[in-house]
Amino acid sequence: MSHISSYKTEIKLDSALSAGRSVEEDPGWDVLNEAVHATAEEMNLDVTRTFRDYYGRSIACDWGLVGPDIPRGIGITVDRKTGEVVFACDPYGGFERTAGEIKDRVVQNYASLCVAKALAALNYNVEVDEVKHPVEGKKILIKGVL
Amino acid sequence: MSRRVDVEVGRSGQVKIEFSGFEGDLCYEEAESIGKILRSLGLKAVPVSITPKTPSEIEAEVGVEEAPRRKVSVS
Repeated sequence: MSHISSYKTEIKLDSALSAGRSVEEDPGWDVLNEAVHATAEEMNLDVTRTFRDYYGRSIACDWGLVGPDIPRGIGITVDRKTGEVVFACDPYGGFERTAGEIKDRVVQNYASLCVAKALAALNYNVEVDEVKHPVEGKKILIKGVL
Repeated sequence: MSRRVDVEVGRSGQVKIEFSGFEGDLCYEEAESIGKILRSLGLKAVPVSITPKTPSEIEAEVGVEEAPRRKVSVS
């Protein structure tokens, strides 16, 4: 039999933490780094280590994404105790939508990278493609053949 | 027939996976293996729906299965 499954996803880098190691050693850390840089390239953003609030104060984060449409930037931080991935920005002045789009894209890229790596680890030949849906936005299609 | 997994990752990370060419419950075992690797990479995938394919969909994938043959005594 074959089937079709749908899932909602959540990022939490807790594999290394549960083994008593630091979150930077988590296999997902490098994947998140890759997803952030892919998002920066796709959306013409710079990757930094800070973002700013309305008053111009700099806030440290693990990855910051800054661009013309979101000059204060959006920060991504992994909680060192729980592995939860937190997206933060100061949206005052109408940046909420752009911040949401960046967050969605990072999560989408992260999920796609994980799926491609999982299929490759199970010896599938993997192909990745992208389609743009007029309503649902970008979709990433991953095909694995064994 | 080769085994095939087609995955669609939507906006904000919703994942839809279609398994094709798997016999019996092997597709569920494969889904579990994939889920295990995703978890180790930090991606928790919570099932929203699981829809088995219909007999006609499976037939289209793998062809009509022959009924198992059994011996009969001829006297």
